[in-house]
Amino acid sequence: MEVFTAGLMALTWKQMVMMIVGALLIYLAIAKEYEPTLLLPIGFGALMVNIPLSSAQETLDILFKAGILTELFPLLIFIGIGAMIDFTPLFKNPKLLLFGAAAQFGIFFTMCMASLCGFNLKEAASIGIIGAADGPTSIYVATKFAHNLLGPISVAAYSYMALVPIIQPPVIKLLTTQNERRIRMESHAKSVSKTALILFPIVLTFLAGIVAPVSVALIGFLMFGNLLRECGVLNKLSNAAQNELASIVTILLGITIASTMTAEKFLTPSTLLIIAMGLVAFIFDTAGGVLFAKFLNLFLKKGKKFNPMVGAAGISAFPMSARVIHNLGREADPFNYLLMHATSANVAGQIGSVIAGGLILSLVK
Amino acid sequence: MLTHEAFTVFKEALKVTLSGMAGIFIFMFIFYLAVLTMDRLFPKKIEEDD
Repeated sequence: MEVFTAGLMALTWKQMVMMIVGALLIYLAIAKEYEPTLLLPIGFGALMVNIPLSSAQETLDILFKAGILTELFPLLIFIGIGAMIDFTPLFKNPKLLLFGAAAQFGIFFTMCMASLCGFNLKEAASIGIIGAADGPTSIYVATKFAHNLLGPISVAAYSYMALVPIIQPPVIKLLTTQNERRIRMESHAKSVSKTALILFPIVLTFLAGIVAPVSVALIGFLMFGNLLRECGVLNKLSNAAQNELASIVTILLGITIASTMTAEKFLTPSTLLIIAMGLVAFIFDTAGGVLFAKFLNLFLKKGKKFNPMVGAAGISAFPMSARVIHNLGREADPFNYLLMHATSANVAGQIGSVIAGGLILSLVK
Repeated sequence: MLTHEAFTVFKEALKVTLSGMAGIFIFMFIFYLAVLTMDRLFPKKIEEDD
């Protein structure tokens, strides 16, 4: 009889709380469709590792050592993401690349705040990188700098990415006037040559690698995926990267991250702080993008000004952020179509977040 | 209460912030120039439309 009750007798209240957290993540993934591809495996994994005397922990530890500590899973995901990105909108309005830089401000602001809360510099940088709004980059940096915080950082990164439609509008409305939200931007209907699109990932990898060699793994895998897409002769591989590779690694990544979500590691005051800091990062990313656009507008003539909301699309959460900006634009003026501009800024944000990750790895010692 | 150690880390974080934000803008500006150059060197030809 003792054999059957041993698990129940070993159950602690902390493990029960973690199982509730796991169930909540599964609920959010299924009922609310908040980043289900990641939150569902993480939620289920959290359930498994918090069952007393669970044998799952051993298997998940093997996956963790093989796929996360070696940084293999996040990098493989980048090949899939690269194969999914179309950089054509950037060629139509390359100035919007700068918004992909400004909207990374939340990363650094949050890093400073986290340092004031008592985290060391590497932990603070790992918390700040939640603001990259890019799960694999957050996981990659956290693995290198603070893998003890990987669980809460991953949960925060993916949860807030799903909450972009709720987080961004109030921040944008607070920082812009109705007239600013009505600003219409010029359309750029030009076509882009295939040669330029093929050269883009190669040139970017070379330039990023020359300036910051430590960023080559991040940007290189992303751009390799993109080259598979654009070269035109490897459609089968491009499709495999976008579908099979991305799906398999996402499943493994999610459930492996959950191995760090044991009660004793996760239920700490620092977890609550990290969740709160993640929100700060997303808010200040949005603010950084909007305020930078407003700053540029000071020097631009009427008719050439940016709609400041487009700056907020410079975060990496693609394509949610672009859709949010487009909808806000139409709310202010039903005939204002910002989708193309917001998409360009959003694509720039995807590059910006990876560069931010690479720079953090170079600068934080 | 802010400890001396936390303040030291904060100062380091500020330095990383300044270098990091400057670095991202420099990178993105270089990418901007690269995009402009590629677009100039390889404009879309009429045959490519077909």
